[in-house]
Amino acid sequence: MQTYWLVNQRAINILIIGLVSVLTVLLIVAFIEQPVHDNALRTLALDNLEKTGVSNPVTAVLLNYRAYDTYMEFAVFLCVAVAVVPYVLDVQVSAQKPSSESQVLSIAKVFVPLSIIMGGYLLWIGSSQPGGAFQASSLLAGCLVLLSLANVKTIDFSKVRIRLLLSSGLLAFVAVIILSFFQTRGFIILQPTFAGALILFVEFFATFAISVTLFLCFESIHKGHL
Amino acid sequence: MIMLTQSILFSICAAILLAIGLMGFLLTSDFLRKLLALNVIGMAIFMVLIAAASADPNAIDPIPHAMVLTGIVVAAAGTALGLNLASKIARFARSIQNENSTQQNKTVGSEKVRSEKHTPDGKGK
Repeated sequence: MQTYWLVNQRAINILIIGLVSVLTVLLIVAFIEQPVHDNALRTLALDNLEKTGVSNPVTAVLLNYRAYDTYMEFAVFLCVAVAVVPYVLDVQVSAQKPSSESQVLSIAKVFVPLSIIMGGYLLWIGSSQPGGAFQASSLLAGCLVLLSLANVKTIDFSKVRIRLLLSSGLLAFVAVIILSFFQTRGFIILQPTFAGALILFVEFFATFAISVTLFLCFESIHKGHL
Repeated sequence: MIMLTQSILFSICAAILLAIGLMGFLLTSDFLRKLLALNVIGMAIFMVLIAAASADPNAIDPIPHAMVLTGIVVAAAGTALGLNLASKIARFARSIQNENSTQQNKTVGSEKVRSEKHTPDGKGK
């Protein structure tokens, strides 16, 4: 019985390898044979760029053309944060003092202010050049991770204001959606005159929300399972 | 002769990455490896999207870029959630194992006591 099962397992493994190789070959053939697409969406996106309030096409796609996607995305982040918070709250915060000769701490002292400035710059530049909320938030999350590794107690996730910060991205987006509904009577249709300001408003809160969520994800794995 | 453009080269690399990820996902039973394989598959899909965006190098499509940008962060968050769940499962399995072993010890101990009770006096010492 045992050997029969083992043989069966080996047969299944060989079948899997065969199927995956066939799929890969078919995919490569499909990629080589594919007709060149006509970039219709790109021309559409670039032609209407002045109506979106930003001049960076990626930001325009993220927060104006396909804002519905990004809205869902923020909801997903909030769900992940809610699902991960219990793992952090399980452990009591240790009263470890950051030792002054810790190398991580000296690195953090140099890099944290620099990357906060970089994050602000990335957030601001996102309207016209590559950058935006996601890049800025990953930088800020990196800051928080560095501080956490240096044993500096940064964020206490049991506080209500931190939880508000976690959900601030989604709340700001909902506020913008409701405001723009009263103006344009449509679902996430931003008026061109206010679009730039509204996008900056959403991105500002999203930066903090996403960075705290990412840090929460790191902290739950790092501290939650000692 | 096939024109090997940058876009097609990246697409082929993405297909190979997808194969590696799928193999890793299907052939191992370890949670951590499965999670890593899922990440590799995700990277392959991002690569396909990026390659599709630069099909025409002079006119780069911003829409796949925006999708990948959000996808990377969601993938990171999803991986964290998966790692937490895997660790919870491992802890649960460990606690069950401990329980079983203590129960076994208990039964062994009680049998010992019973056997000592039932041994005739002459054989005991």
